[in-house]
Order: sequence, then structure tokens, then C-alpha cells
Amino acid sequence: MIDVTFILNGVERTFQCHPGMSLMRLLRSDGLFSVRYGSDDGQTGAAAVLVDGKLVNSDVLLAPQVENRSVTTVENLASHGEMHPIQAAFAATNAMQSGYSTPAMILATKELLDARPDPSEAEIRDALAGILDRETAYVKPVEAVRRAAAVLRGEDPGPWGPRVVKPMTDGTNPVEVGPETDPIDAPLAMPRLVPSSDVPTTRVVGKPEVKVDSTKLVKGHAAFVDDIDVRGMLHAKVLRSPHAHARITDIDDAAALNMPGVHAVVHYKNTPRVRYQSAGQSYPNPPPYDQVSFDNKVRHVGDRVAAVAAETVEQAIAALDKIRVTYEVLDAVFDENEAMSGHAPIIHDEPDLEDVFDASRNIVHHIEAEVGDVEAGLASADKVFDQHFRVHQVQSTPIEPHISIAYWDSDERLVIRTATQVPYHCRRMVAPLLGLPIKRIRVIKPRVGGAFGSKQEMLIEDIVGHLAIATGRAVRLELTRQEEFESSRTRHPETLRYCTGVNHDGSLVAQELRAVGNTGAYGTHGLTVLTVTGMRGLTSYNVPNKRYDCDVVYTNRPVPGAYRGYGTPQALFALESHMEDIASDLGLDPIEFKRRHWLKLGDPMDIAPLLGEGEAEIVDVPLVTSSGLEECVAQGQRAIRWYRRNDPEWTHPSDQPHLRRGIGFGMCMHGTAIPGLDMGSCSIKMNDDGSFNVHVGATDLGTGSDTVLSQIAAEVLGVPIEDIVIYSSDTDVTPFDTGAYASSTTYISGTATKKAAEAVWWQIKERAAKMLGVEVPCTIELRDRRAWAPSGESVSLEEIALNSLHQDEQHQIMGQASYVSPESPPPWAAQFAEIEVDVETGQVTAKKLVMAIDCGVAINPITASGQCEGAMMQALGYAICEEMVYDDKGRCINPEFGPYRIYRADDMPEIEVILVQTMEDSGPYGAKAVAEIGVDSIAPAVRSAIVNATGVRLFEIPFTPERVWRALNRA
Amino acid sequence: MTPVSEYARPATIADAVALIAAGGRIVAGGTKANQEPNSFEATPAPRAVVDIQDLGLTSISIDSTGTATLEARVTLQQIADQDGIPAVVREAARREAPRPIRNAATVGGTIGSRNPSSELLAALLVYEALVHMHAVGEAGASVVSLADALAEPIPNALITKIEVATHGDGAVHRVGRTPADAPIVAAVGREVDGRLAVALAGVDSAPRLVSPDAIDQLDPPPDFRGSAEYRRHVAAVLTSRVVRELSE
Repeated sequence: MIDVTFILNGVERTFQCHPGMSLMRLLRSDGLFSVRYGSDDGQTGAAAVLVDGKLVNSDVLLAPQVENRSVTTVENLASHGEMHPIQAAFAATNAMQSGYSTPAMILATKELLDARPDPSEAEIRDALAGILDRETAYVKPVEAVRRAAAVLRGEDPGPWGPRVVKPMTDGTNPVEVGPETDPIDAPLAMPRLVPSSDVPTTRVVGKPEVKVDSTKLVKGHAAFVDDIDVRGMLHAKVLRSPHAHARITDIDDAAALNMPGVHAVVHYKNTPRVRYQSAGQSYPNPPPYDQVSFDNKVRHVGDRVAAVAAETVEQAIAALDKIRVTYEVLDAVFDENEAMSGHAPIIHDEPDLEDVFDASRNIVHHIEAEVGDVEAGLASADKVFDQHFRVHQVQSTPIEPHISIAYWDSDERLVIRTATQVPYHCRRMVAPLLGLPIKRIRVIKPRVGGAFGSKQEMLIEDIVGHLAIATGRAVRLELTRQEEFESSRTRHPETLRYCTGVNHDGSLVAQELRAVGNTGAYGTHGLTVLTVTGMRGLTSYNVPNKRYDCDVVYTNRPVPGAYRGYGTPQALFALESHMEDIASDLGLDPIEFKRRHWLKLGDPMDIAPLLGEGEAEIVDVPLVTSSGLEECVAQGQRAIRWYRRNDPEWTHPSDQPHLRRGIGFGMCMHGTAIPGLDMGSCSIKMNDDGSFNVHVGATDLGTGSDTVLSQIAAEVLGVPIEDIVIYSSDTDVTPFDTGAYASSTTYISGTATKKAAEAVWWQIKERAAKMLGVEVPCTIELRDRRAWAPSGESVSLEEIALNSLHQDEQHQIMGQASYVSPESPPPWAAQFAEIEVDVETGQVTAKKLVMAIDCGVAINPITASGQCEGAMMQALGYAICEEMVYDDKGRCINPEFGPYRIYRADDMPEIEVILVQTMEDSGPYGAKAVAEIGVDSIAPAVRSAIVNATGVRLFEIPFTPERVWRALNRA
Repeated sequence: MTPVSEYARPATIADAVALIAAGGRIVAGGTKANQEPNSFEATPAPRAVVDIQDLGLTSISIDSTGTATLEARVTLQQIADQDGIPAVVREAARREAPRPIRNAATVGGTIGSRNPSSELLAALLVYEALVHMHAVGEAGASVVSLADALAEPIPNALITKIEVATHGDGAVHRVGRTPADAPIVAAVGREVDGRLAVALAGVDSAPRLVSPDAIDQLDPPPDFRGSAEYRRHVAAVLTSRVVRELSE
């Protein structure tokens, strides 16, 4: 141990530390939790701090390196509790979602503006480029920096909020969008809002309210799972398989147990064999139950072998090296089509396996659904279009990795503080594995640093649980970035084949989708993701005969699971590309052709009852109840300047003969929650001062659901949002919610919140009527923190609360409600991409993305547009640069940022979001979903743009330079 | 935590070289040296680290002949910010890494890492960089061309400074998955007094000078971002663009 002395946030401090300790770990151990872990290689920037005023990554800085230097963290920026103007600008613009890396962004801004008070956008993007953000696409952060700079210069940063624009269509019929249409004159960070006349006026809903969690996020307060100290906590590490497929014939932990600081080693020999599946879904979880906490077989590189709990992380790592594992290495298979050939190694050969369709051919599930008679339809069609597509494996890469801390409370109940999308499912699923009743487990979800589906999983909670039981101590496990890639969850690779029968007049006769989904080593979400691939892949367009045929197949790859879009981006890459190619081959305009066939108001979603996501059986075919798609197309065409795609001088710039330009389009249709299954609930109580505690099971992952639900409650109760104190996702305190997935929270939990607020609203009215001497309580109106009688007399909510709690017929004004929807009204979107192709190198560069979306009424237009922006950035990575690459042993060779490329602030294209309002009567205040649809059709839009630019059709993503170059060469 | 057994901050070059001779690992900015080892690799034995920050070595100067001297601990951000340094070198330094890494990563460390995709190393090659280093077991400093220094892994030695020319016109073309991606292949060219030099990143184990007429002789190591055939092809394309731009 050595002493290190430096100035920390203005105060000279001396720390004793190991010479190899990173500055990040030292600062966090001192309670400076704004310095966050994203990786150990400086590639995320989440741990950036200022050293002598310069931004550096503290995860790759040894603590002794800052001897005699000055270190500043974001905790030092606020003055007497008042936000620094940079913090205020980030808060005001909602320039964060999870906010995990926001402190680093704020420090990056501080360094920039100290040197450059009036930076250009390029300089701002350069300053933020070292801080990876998977959520905002950097749109709002860049705007926050610009506005902070203006404030610091003493200038007015200008207006902020959605920019209202007029509708271009009558809502039903298309319009011609030419060069004469004006672009919208407002920063792109301000979403365009196209209002609908049938949306009622509201006071809080629909307004760009500041996120309710913004203060803690911009100030870097302790908010995330790891931001606590638990006395005596042990640290866990997992021994992972170096083999893609092997039987463990023996394991010897004696040497590991004798290592210093080691308290427990768990593995298949000392852990109960309880079968489960890890996908965080409603009871009963869909089959197969093909996992146990620790097995005597490993099925992918990175699979669990054993776990150690020790007093330090280093001791745990050292102990892993001492576990003696004897492997019988088996042949492995990685391709889904090869895996089901009948000649591949059998991945799940355990005798207690159940509910697998054909284990001998590695087929987990076989899914079939048919409407009409496809065979006859294809036989009768004038022409049949038959195309194959292939989509690859990517990881959602939340900057906060999976992390769980388990500890015993004073009642000897196990508390699991964990980064999860599904706290209630997690509690129910982990209980049998640990041999504890549900009532002895409490799951707490604090702030989560991004999830995108990867945390819709009971992934590591059982490990900390087993170790907490084995040791009687608190246990913490945080995955490394490499573990995130190799042992977390990913997007399913799929092979897709579309056969579509079309008549000469362009009418669609029949359509068949054949999909093979690669679910890796375990089933998890395989059934439901591939079911969604079928439903989304066969719902967007009216075809009288349609059929889905699918196999979900085990391979020895790291495990796919839930990832934003959930089978839809795979389906829509193939479907939208296929439809465009049909149009092109028929000599038709692609949008005109798609428009002719896409679902419109009142049209049936006929295959939905056959391909539900595991929900209760739906008898009736659901109908489209709202659609702003036509307006979305027009607004999107204006924003992208669609007309340019037909101008050869633009597509083939004469001064750059190696470049081609193109613009492409993709249509998106998604769902809003799982009908008949997703349930949310809410309880609300009134406080002495007329404020309200709102408790929801809904799980804010950075999505803004706490804010949106607060807006809904405030709207009903006639108070500003700051009178709502929301607390979410704690199984001991908040009511049940299925969790944050399936684009459900605003619609489902929002409706539950609205109903709970209405129950409270009614009690307030009754009390107010009594206090004001009004005979008919329903004539009372709540607004401006007061209850108003028709006479104009009023009483404040505070007076009502005091009267109710202390003075007269005492009663706690409180209400609760839950909600499950029989419907899943689709949001719609038109997505556009403008790209350049270097035809000599194959490099595809995105220049602009546009998304015009009908998500009903956006409860908060700023957070809604942020969802779209972040989704499009992830989708662009899916289309262009992200891919998990394996060697022939099944080992991912790029499990780190850089080689696994995600977009940075300085290489993002322009993004423009247009919110096209419709009134969805089944949603709270007219809302539908917004969370996932933004990932759906960027890949086909980029492909469409490449076709526009070069005439070349690609059938596989990502569009990396060599792949595109080879396709250009083949053409 | 990185596997570190001891931490030293030598005050002199001689002390630093002695510590390196004893097995110490140089930490300059630390952006590479302090990365955690890959967890599927055997945990390396803890090593002593030699933090060279007390040696200073942070200045940039440009003499009357136009030769710039960059001391070894000059950061990439200093290069990016420095007037008088050729624009392609400054831009290559900026593109080498994002700001929080540029603020710590040094020019000496960049040379030591021999990153095959380094556009900065390619730029320094065409600007005729000379590397001053103190090798273990040798008295005094030796000076080698950057091309020689990059030809093989640098032996136990402490780089103290580099000298680099600043005159001439530069050009760069690259290909990557995204605009700010590390280049799959980059070509950097410089024209001075009618002489043309071209260096390529992404075609060998380290960036190297090439003859524009001999691109087809290259045998680039392939990886998932580019096969040998593709890298050779784009090397030719990018080189011809650089040559064309410098000829205009």
C-alpha cells in the first residue's frame, strides 16, 4: 500500500491505496459515485474526471498518477446546492435518459467551455465524443452544451420545447411533397409536433416537463445499484467457460477456498439443480426451462462454470484461477441452419430437459400460423417473389453493465438491489433457485443505467443470492464489459425468407415468411422474439393469404434475448426490403406500392390472434383504431427532402465521382404492450401539504416513465408536476407491474396511474364539497392546487389534506388501481435515411435520419423524441457498423468498444423527429407507445437509400465497407 | 485494478531506464498500459510500473528550420492544438482518440503501442519523424527514423522525444465503418520539393511508408473489418486519391 496525496474537489486529501488501484475505484470508494464504471479500458468515458482541468478517464488512470495534482468530479460543480449553469442546461433540455454518463458529459462540457466559450457544433461533438451514450443519440446533450454556453456568455439561449407545425395532409390522403415545401426553422433537438384537433387541452400532459430525476442525475448523486456502501460486503466473480461446448467432468474448489479472503465457491456440485428459464416474463414463464444456476455442461464461451465470493475483487479473481475444472470438450455449432441439420452436436442432451420441440436437431420451438390458403394463393399469383435475408447478432451495450448486490436485512430477508427491467418477475423467478419463499425476498431497482431489453432477464441475481446464502454476507457482482458481450443477452440472428405472390396489377395475393431464429445456448426469449418476428413481419400489409413458419434453434453462441424491437427489426429489414424490391421490379414507386397495401384505419391485424406474445387467447381480430401514418410520410418526406432522390445531379455529384447519394424509406408499425397480459398498478396517497406520493411498479430505465407517470397523476389531480413524489420498482413498497418491456409503460402503467389518480381525485372532491358546502361533488374542479366550486369559491389541496388527516372524520385520501389492456393499438412511423456511398471503398456514411411518428399523444414531447433519437442511433449501428464477430471456436473476438463500434457524438448524422399526434382513445390522454418503434426500419431505410444511390441490393446487415464493396463488384 | 506490484516515479531519465531494465513497465498517459487484462487470458503477474511524469518531457518547440520537437509526454491533444504542426498531423492526432484519451495519451506511448491502424503514426512517418530513445544497456540516446522504430516491437527503451518536419503539403484519405471509426485503411501523403511520400495504416503490423507503385505487393494482415484483398484494394484507392490531391 502507498500513500497518494492530491487535491480532490478543492481539498487536499491523502489516501492509502494499492499501487495498481485505478483512480475510478479510489474515488468511488470515497463516495464520489458520479464517477461510473462502464469498462476497464477507458472506452466509455463514464469514469471521466477533470485532472488539472483536463478531462481524463479515471478507469485507466492509476491513483498514484494523480499525486500532487488536482482532481474535480461533478460533485464539486454545484454551488451551495445550486446547479452549475451546465448542469441546469442538461436538466432543462432533458439531455439524459438514464443519466449514467451525464456527470462525465457535464465535465466534458466544463472543459470545453472553459477554453471555448462559443464553440461550434463540431467542437461540441468533439468534446462529447469520448463519452459513449447509448440513449440520447447525443441530440439533446449537444443542445444542452450550446445552451449552457449561451447562458455562460450572458446570452439568451433561445426558446426550448416542441416546435408546433401544421399538418400537411387531411390525415387520410397522401400529398405531393416537392422542393417548394419549407424546412422547419428550429434546432433539430426541438421535436416537431403536428397537433391533432381532437386532442383535449391539458395543463401538464403534453408539456415538455423536466425529468423528475434530473437533479440527482446532473449532480451525480448516489442513485444507481452500485452507489451504496454495505458494511462487510463481499465481491463476486464468475468463472466462465473458455469452450463453446463441453461437459464438466469434475470441478475441484479446494485450492480456491484456501485463497486469502475467499468465503465461498459455488458450482454444480454444491448448488441445487433447479430448472428455470431466465427471460423476465409473466407467470408461467414460457418454455423451455433449460437452465440451472450451475450446470455440469457449458454451452457457449462465457457460460457460467462457478462463482467466488471474496473480500476484494482481486481476491475473487485470484481464486478463479485456482478452481480446477476438468472439461470434456465437445464439438460445437454456431450457425442456426447447420444446427438443425440433424448432423450437428446436440446442445441440450440433459435427461431432465422438457418442452423442447426436437432436442436431437437442436430445435427449441416450431411455430406455424396461417391465414387463408397461402399455397393456393402463391399458385394463383401472376408472379412470385422469393428472397432470402440474413440478420446478425448485436449487443445492446447499456453503459451500466449488469450489477446486483444482495444483502440480508434485520429480519433475515434477502434484499437484492439490482439493475433490472423486471423486479417482480425477478423476485418470483429467483426464489425457487435460492430455496427461499418469495416473501423472504425484496427486489429493489434503483436508477438503471440503460437496459434496452438486456435487463429483462433474471441474469445474475441468483448468483449473488447463492453466495449471500453461502456466506451470510452481502455480495456484489458487477459484470465486466467483456462479460456483457459474452454472457449477457443479445439480438437474435435470424435467417428469413419471404415468398410473395403478386398479380400484374400490383395486388398482393399471398405472403409467406419462413424464419430460422438462432437462440444461442438457451431458449430464454426465443419463442416470443420469433413469434413477434412473425407477427410484425406479416401484419404491416394487407395480404389475404399469409403464413408464418419458424424454427427457433439452439447453437453454441452467446445467448440472444430481449433487445429493443424484440424480433421486429429483423422482420422489418426483410419485409420492407422485400416490398421495395417487388415495387421496383414491377416498375412502381416504392412508397406508392407500400401505401396501397399498408394497414389503414379499421383494417384487421388478422394474424395477431395466432401469433400473440404468449398472452391470453384473443378471440377477436384486432382492428387499427388510430393511424397518423399518412401524415408521418408527408412530414418525413419534407424533412428528408425526398424529391432529391430523383435528381441525378444530386445522386451522382459530378465533383466527387466516387460518391453516390441516396435517400431511403422504411415504414414502421409496432405494438403497444401485450394485450391481456401486461399489467401495471399504482397507488397514490395525499400528504399534509397537498402533495402526493405516487408508488408504481413501473420500471424507469432512463426511459422517463417516472416523469411521464408523474405528469399523468399531476394532470388528474390539478397540481404541477413538482407536487408529485414518485417512487418506483421496489417489491416491498410499490404495487406489482410486469416491468419495462413491450413498449407498455406509458400505456399500461400510465392508465393504472390515471385510474389511481382518479380515485384520489374523487375523494378530494367529496372532501372539498363538504368543506365548501357543495351538494354535488362531481361539480368540483381541481386545478392550480385548489378545488373549485361552480360558484368560484375554492379551497386549497393543503387545506383539504389537513382537514382530512387531522380535523374532521379523519381519513387518508388514497387510491390505487391496476390496469391490463385488451388492446394493443399500433404506433406508426415513417423513417428515412440519407446516405452517401463511396463506390470505390464501399463505405456507407449516414448523413441524416428522419422519423415521423404517430405515438398518439406524446405525454412529454421531449422525452418521447429522445426515445426516438436513441432508438434510431441503435438502429443505425445495427444497419452499418455493429456486429459481434466470432472465431471458429465460438469466441467473440470484439467484446470491447472500438472493435465493437457504436456511434459517438462526432460521427452521428443529423436526426430529426416529428411527433404526429393522433388521439388513441384507449390510451391515457390519447397515448400509444414510443419506446421501441424507432429501431424498426432504419436498416431497411438505409438499404433503400443504398439502392437509390447505387442500384445495388443487399440482403445482409451490417453494411460494412467490405460487404458493400463486394456487392458493388458483383453488380 | 491492474496487476501492479510497485509504483515508481523516477526523477531522471537514467533512473527511469534503470527501472525499465529491472522489468518495470512504462506508464506515460496510461490509456493503454492501465487497461484491465482480458478476463479470458491468464491473469498476468503483477509488474512494477514506471510513471515517467516527473521527467517532464511535455513541451513542443519548432525551430527556425521548421523542425518540430515533440517531447515524449506531449499529449495527443497538445499536438492537435499546436499551431505550426502540419494540419494532417494535427487532425490525425485528433482522430486518434476522443478527448479524454487524447488528454492523457502521449506521442511516445503512441509510438510504443505500434497501433497498426494509427493514422497519427502514418502522418508522422511522412513527416520524416525521428525518434530519440534511451535503450536499456546503451549509453546515451540513440536516434532512429520512425520507420525503423516501427519496423519491430520497440525493445526495452525510453522514448524521450521525436523530431518531425513541418513543411510540405499533406493529404489524407481513409475508410472506416463510421466517420470517426479507427481507419480500416488510411493513406497519408506529403509532398515537399517535388518529392512525394505516402504512408499507410491498416496494411501491416504497424503503419509503414509505401511506394505508391507497389501497393499490389502488400500482404495486409486480415481481420473482421477487412480481408487482405479488401485492404490491398482500398490501399490502392486511397493512395491514388492522396497522390491526386497532392498533385493538384
